[in-house]
Amino acid sequence: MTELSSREVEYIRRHHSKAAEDNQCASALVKHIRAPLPLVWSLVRRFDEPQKYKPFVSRCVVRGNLEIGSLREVDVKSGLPATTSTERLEILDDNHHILSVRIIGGDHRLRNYSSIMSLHPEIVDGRPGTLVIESFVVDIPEGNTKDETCYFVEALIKCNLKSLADVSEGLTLQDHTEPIDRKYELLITRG
Amino acid sequence: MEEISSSVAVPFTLGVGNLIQKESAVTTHMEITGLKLMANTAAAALMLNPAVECLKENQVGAAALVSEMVIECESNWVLNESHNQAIKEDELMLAVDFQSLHSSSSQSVANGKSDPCREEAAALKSSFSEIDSPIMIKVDDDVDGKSGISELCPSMKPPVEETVSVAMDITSEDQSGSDESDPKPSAVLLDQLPGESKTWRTGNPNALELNSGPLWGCSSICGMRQEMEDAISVKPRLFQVSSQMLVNDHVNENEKQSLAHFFAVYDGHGGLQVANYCQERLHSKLIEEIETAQSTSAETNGRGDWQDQWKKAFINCFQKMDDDVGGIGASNRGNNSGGSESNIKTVAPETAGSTAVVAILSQTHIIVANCGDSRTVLYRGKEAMPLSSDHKPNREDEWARIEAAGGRVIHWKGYRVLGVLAMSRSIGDRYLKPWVIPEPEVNIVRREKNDECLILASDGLWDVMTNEEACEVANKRILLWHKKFGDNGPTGRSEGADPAAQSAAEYLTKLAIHRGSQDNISVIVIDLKAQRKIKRKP
Repeated sequence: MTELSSREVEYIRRHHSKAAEDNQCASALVKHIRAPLPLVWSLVRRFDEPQKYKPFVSRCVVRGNLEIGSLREVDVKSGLPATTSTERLEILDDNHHILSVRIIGGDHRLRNYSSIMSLHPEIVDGRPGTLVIESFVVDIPEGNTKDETCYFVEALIKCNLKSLADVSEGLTLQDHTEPIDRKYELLITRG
Repeated sequence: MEEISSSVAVPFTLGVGNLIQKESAVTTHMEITGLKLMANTAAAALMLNPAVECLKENQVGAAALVSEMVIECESNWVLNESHNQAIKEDELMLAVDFQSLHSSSSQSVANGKSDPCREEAAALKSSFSEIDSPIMIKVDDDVDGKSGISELCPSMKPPVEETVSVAMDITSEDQSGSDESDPKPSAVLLDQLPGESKTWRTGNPNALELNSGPLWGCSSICGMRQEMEDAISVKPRLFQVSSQMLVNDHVNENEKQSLAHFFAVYDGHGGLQVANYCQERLHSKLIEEIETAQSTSAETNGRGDWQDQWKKAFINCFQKMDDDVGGIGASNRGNNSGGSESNIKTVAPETAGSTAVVAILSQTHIIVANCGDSRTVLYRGKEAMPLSSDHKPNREDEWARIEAAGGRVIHWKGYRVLGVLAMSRSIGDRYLKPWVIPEPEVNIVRREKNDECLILASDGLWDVMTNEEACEVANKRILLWHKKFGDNGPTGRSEGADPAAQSAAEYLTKLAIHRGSQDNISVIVIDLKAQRKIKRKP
């Protein structure tokens, strides 16, 4: 695990302190993104369109209104050890920029999986950036070790976070010609 | 073309309808317990040609027990079937192979249910909706002239045309009222093969080379997947290869050239972008690499092993394809101006990838390059010879290579790299580098007179069929076609698919569906017995 700054440790303690049982594994990953927080959050909070930045999602359908407790049916792209996943929206906090999702079904092996994403503003190379922390807890499937389970889930999350960075930074470049004040105003209104 | 296709389709549809009614009546009088016996009898009938006629009634009975599911399935291939008799034969062979599914203890498809027949039928039923869709589109293409699937898979266009042509020939035959050809002449000709082959060998081999292309057929089907991510590429007479690339003959200054044919199956995952890109570009890239190798060989006066040159050409080719889809060239520019340009330049998402199994067929050699878990198998002297080795993460040397590079192989619904990808090599899959590499394994074998056929296929086939089964079934279908239509087949070689090999490829995909394949299925069958064609002419 990479050395975390005291600030990151504090964020994790405050927002990601869920404890793991003996038969579970838990971990947290950190990603620094060179894009302003409102932009990154506008992608993360789309519970109904995870495919905007998650490369493994081919399709997503949300049942009913978009609110706490909503369920989404996610179709997974081929080549992975799953084809579908049913997921529930647990937390959507637009003030503190926190999203929490629990997996409640599907043909994968992730039982009692729950994840939290928190976004925090920071300055990267003198420009507004976003610190993204994603933590998860999940049962260790029969036949696998805790180490293997963490390794597998972390691989997927790293891929998602890298894609989130690529998409956000790409969008940031497209917005590059706009004044900062106006851009923030637009993004906040849109959010 | 449209009118001809329409008129051809109608009578076969009616025929199938009549057959269904007939079979339904027979079904009510048959018992399940009798199926195995009749299946065995039917199998014997296929081997003993004279016995076919007198067992005709039993064939119908055996076929009926496979149920209307099979008949309904068959009806979707109306344009691909020559006539009712062929339909019955198809059903009979499916019945035999279907029966072996339950009796064989070595089946990789385990069935823990107490009622396997019912579950199998349910699987067949659920697969119909998948089967119907692509076939319907294909039929529309013929009738309306739409491009549809043909555009996605350009190489599929010739076989469709060839199939229609064959159907037209059969229609004429039916109208004339001629009976099925006498099986005895075929047997006699086959018996004389050893003697005749000597004559053929002393003849002018260039004549064969110049006048005939490869005898190939291919079939590609979506199957149980929601999306089609397979691609097939067939390029007969793709290039001329110099003798220096096929023998270590430093003394011979004669620049002999021989034709080489290109066949490939690409099984994409995480998206179809990489497989499609390979289908469009890999063969051209390979030609570039081969020309480079040949010019290098000329400069060094033929020194260096010719087999190493092939390996180098393929390795360079696959690496460049991998660089292209990953935007390696563009990413350098991308770094200067930020991520946006890099994203735009990439051919495929970083989580898309593809297998690639390639076979080069020359007069004297078969050269195979494989990356991933598609496969090619040679049927030689009644034995199945795999010419490629699957790149699975739990292959001992692959596992060691991955862990040496800092990765891990985790058993997560099968052994997977990082628990994610079920193959250890592929083109694309940028997110899994450096553990998943695009380097092919190259195998070169000299052709022999007892080579029967060559099969290239994606794992949608190999997951439900052994090498031996696939080879035996394909060869059986080729022989069956020639027994039925060999004497009346189209004269002269066309550029399209060979109808016998096409029949074999289509049969294999149908059989894989029956076996419960859960993936896209793509198959190429190449009949390596050119003698069959030549002997028919005189």
